Amino acid sequence: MIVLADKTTIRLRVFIVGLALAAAGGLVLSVRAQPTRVSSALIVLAILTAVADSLAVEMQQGGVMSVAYPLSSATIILFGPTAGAIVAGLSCIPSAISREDRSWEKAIFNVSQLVLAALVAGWTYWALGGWRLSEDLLSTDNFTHAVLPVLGLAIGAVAVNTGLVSMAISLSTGAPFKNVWQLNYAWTTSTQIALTFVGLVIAQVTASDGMVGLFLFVVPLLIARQFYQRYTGLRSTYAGTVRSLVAVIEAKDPYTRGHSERVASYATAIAGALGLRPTHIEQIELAALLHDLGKVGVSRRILVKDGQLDSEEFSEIERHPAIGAHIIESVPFLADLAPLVLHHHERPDGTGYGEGLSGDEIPVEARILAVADCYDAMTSTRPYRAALTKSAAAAELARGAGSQFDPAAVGALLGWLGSAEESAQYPGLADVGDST
Amino acid sequence: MRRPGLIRIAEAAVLAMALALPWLIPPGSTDLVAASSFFVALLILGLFDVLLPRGDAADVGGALAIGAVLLLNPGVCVAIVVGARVCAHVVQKRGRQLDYLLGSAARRAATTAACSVLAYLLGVKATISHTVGQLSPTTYAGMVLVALCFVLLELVLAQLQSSLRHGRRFIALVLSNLPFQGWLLAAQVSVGLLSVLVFRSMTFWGLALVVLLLVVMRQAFVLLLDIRQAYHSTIEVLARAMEAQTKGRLGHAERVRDIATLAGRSIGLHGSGLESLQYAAMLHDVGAEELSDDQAVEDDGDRCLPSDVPSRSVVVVENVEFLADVVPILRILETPETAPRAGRHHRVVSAYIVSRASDIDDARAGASPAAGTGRAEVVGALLRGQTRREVELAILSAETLVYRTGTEAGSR
Repeated sequence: MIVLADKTTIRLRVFIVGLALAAAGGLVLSVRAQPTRVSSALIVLAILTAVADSLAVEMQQGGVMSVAYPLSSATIILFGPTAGAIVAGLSCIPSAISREDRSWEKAIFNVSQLVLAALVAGWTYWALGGWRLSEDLLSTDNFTHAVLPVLGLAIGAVAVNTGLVSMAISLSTGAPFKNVWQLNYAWTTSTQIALTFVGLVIAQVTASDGMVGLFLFVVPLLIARQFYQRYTGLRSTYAGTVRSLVAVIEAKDPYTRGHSERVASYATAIAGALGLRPTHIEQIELAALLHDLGKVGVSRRILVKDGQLDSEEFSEIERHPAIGAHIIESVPFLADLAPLVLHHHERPDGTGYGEGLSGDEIPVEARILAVADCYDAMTSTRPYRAALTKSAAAAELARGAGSQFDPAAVGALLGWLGSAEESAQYPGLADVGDST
Repeated sequence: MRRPGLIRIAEAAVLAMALALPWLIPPGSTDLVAASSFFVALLILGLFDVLLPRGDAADVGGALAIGAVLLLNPGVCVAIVVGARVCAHVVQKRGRQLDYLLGSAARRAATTAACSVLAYLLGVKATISHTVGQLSPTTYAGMVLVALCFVLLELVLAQLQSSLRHGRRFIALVLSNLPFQGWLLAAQVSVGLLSVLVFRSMTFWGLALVVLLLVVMRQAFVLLLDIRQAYHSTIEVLARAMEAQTKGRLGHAERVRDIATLAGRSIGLHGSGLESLQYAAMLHDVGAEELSDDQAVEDDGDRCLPSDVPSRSVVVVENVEFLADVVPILRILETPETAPRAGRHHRVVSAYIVSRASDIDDARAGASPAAGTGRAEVVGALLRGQTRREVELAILSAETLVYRTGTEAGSR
């Protein structure tokens, strides 16, 4: 792990140095091509952009979303790409200084990527026929001519900005670039493009009505930022909330205590190894935490029975996926997980229960849950049997691959368990087989 | 709802007067481009109304109505603002919510008419129309005054309607909503003024961009509402699932929440205070759910809860960041002696309501109460005599309502 971290750091540093050189070179060329004049409006915009940047909202995997973006777009539209790049680059310095974990790498990266994004966006705007609003205002007649350049500006800024940040996160965490981008930025792209047009309004109002117009944007943008901040905060703690409450339900039975939590960690590992998208992995984690919720509708006498179940008792147990799915369906936010819970006891050969599906009829997420669930059940002590060792459980999974379990999911879990044991990266795993 | 028929008649009368009165002012020339642009923009925003959990809708078009008030003739202004509202309602096929439409249209019409006349009398409209280039500070001041009047009048009228419909205290509602909605009102004023500025230079294109800004703000609000609703439903469902595991407890938390919600509302709790009370009621016994059956205390053959349940509940709820405001209420139930001494402190009131409602439900169900019985007495002793009497009265009326009608007070 340490070796990997070292390699990552070296790669990341090379990436940052390259980026800094590109940004510096780009800025020099831009200043030569289009020098900028300092005005009071430019200074006020720079200050507001810096303040807005210090109020950026942190995303789940380390990226940030900032309301500084429409302000820097407005700077480009008002004063050109060079001024836009300088304002964007300077804007992140106060927040870099005030940050607790002052890191020169992070500061250089942020300045460089913002300068590059502003340069690309600004010159795209210029190349597509955009003009400086500080010299010529938009009107009803010429508005349509500004739409394409502004769209170009938006796409340029969003692509360079989110692409470079995702690349840096990917290099520092080892997570695939595509996954990082999808988790953090895919859902913000349309908002960012809309915010570029808000930048156009800011530019227009500042050019036509001066500072009064500019300050009218402060409250709406702050409120939008406040909503986003609270949303991302609540979104990131949602799975934790479910985990805490499910743990209470499971705690009643010493045999199943911690089961869903462990199934969730196996299932997310399998999903990650199979290359599923982050949004899918998030769904699988939640479904794993909730997969046995339906057991609240099954008699406790049967759940803790010390011995073989008779057929009547077994058919009651078989009801738990349907009960769980029914409970989950009543929560709109979780309703998409209901099929996953309903089918987590299906088998590829069609002999499982839920709805008796087989093969590809079973959702891939449910197949993953089935493997994770069975592995944890086998490696845990139950009232009617002792826990299997990890290797015995792995052998059982391998034996059932194709008939009882999805072979790809089994392969992914076994691969993950093997690599986890080799690198001892996952100390939690050591506990799994302890009950033997 | 109290006297619904009378309220409807009053609202219809207000709507009719608001539509008619501005025509008493000489209409002058009507800018058709401005009127039609504002109508279309308001109609589009009307389609983006945000449905709130309790069935109301948050209107994002208020800011543009301010723009219309500042730019259009009073009669035309009221007609297009109300017309756009009605059309949006029809397009969305919300035919069954006629009460809501009448209420919102009457409120918006009255506000628009009053502020439009004010803008006319202050001469703001004329100055904006005839000034080329930057407006003077006096004009800006006039615009801000009209916009502030608009948002405050709308807030007051909305709370008056709520007070009449649900029998809540009007002044308390206004005072409690003012700080809560303060920033939103400021945003409405800002965007309203912006719509005037951009319309002057870019006409309908400017309005289109302002609509975009409002839609971005709305999207952020919707995301937040959705995730809050997700938390609410998830916690409710999981709490119910926990109860289902314990014989004889199913429905207890829900009934306690219903009593607590009705009692809390009638003593003036609202917003986050009321929400915390609801969660505290729902989760007050959650600590008992992790006990295995043999850990429950047997009392004359009945299963009853051990005295450390409140402490266990605190431990569970503490792990959930979303429920941070609920922890202090459960802590008061855990150790009443450490509670704040302020006689009307809302958390003490909430803790008292929860413990009393729980005792009431246990008594009605014929179950033995928790081993820590008498907790309600200890918490109640922290309240001032008068406050305690008020709260007690509210709890008793809530009890009557919940057990007689089985009302779903907790639905939000």
